[in-house]
Amino acid sequence: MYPHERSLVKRLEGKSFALIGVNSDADRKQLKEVMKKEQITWRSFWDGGKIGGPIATRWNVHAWPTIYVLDQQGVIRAKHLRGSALDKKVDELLQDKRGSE
Amino acid sequence: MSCLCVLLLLLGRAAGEDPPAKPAEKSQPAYLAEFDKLKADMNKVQQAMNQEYAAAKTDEEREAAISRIQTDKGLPLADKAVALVRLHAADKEAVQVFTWVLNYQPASPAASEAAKLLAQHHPKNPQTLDTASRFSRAPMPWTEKLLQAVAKADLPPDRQVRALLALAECAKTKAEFPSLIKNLDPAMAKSVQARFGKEYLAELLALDQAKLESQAVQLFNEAAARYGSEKYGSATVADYVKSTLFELENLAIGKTAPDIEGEDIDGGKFKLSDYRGKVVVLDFWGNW
Repeated sequence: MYPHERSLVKRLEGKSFALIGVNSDADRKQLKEVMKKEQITWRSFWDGGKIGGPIATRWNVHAWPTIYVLDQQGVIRAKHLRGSALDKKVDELLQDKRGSE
Repeated sequence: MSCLCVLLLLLGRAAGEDPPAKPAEKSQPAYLAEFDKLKADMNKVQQAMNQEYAAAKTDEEREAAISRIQTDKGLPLADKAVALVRLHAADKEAVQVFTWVLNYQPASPAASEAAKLLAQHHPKNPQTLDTASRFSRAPMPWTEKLLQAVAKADLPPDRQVRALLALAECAKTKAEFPSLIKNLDPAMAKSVQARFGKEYLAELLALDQAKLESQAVQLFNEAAARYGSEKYGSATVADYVKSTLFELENLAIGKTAPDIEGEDIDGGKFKLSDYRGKVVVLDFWGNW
């Protein structure tokens, strides 16, 4: 996952786009090291250091990773996309915005 | 290894030439020895698939290799397994054979027959429920019928509720399926097709989403009403149902995402709604 996410973030640098994580790891210090090593520059919510954290529970997440795509108005436009399908959806939504302006 | 195979073959043959097996022999039924051989063969098939997968250069090649090996090698093994125990379907030893077929070749005709025989003879067997509920988030043509048979059997509440929730989960998955499929990239779409089979996939895509969703809501509510205080995973059935209904109601495509308020890894406070105006990919992840 990380390489694809890195390239998505890099490719859309300067665009109206954000990758936001919700992280369910247990060890914050260790996670910081991983993020540094893997160049995970995007921001993540810390979900209480466990798998059944408050955010994952509220969003009924039972499988990781789980991905939601939101548009500029915060409306859920897609779920569970991966790879090129995710890229395509994001590009399409960025395009939509430009079209409506 | 080769000695063992010969031995297993002999055992299998002996059983074939000498029907019906005398109840006096209290040892394992002979078909289990044959079944062990099928399992070994299936392992070889899996290895062959892994090798082809690693050797293939494109997604297309990968998919083609896997579906070829599945069809040529995997499906006949599933057929053989069901044929081994068809006449012994009521034996408790047959359950492991049937569930194996469901796990390894879930989209095969053999799996449909295995599920039917499990529903008929073993609805109370814990393995039947375990296997069927494993498919509640990727329901196969047989999954709901099998779960219905389990739900109708007279089970203790903790298992009864698992059957009900798995049925609800099936309906929810099927309701969401078309919008998930539409957005897949070509390689994923192909592997989904390989998993479900062309015809069944077409059937899934033609389902009435709204109807299935209300069916799911009804089943979840029924589970909560009857078994709310039962434990389910780390929570209770009532809690589980509550968050699932919340998802169905508020986290569907087209709904405005509920806000998230929290802190980042360094302790900085922020909100999901801080990113309004941007396209957001929200990624639930963990480094495991």
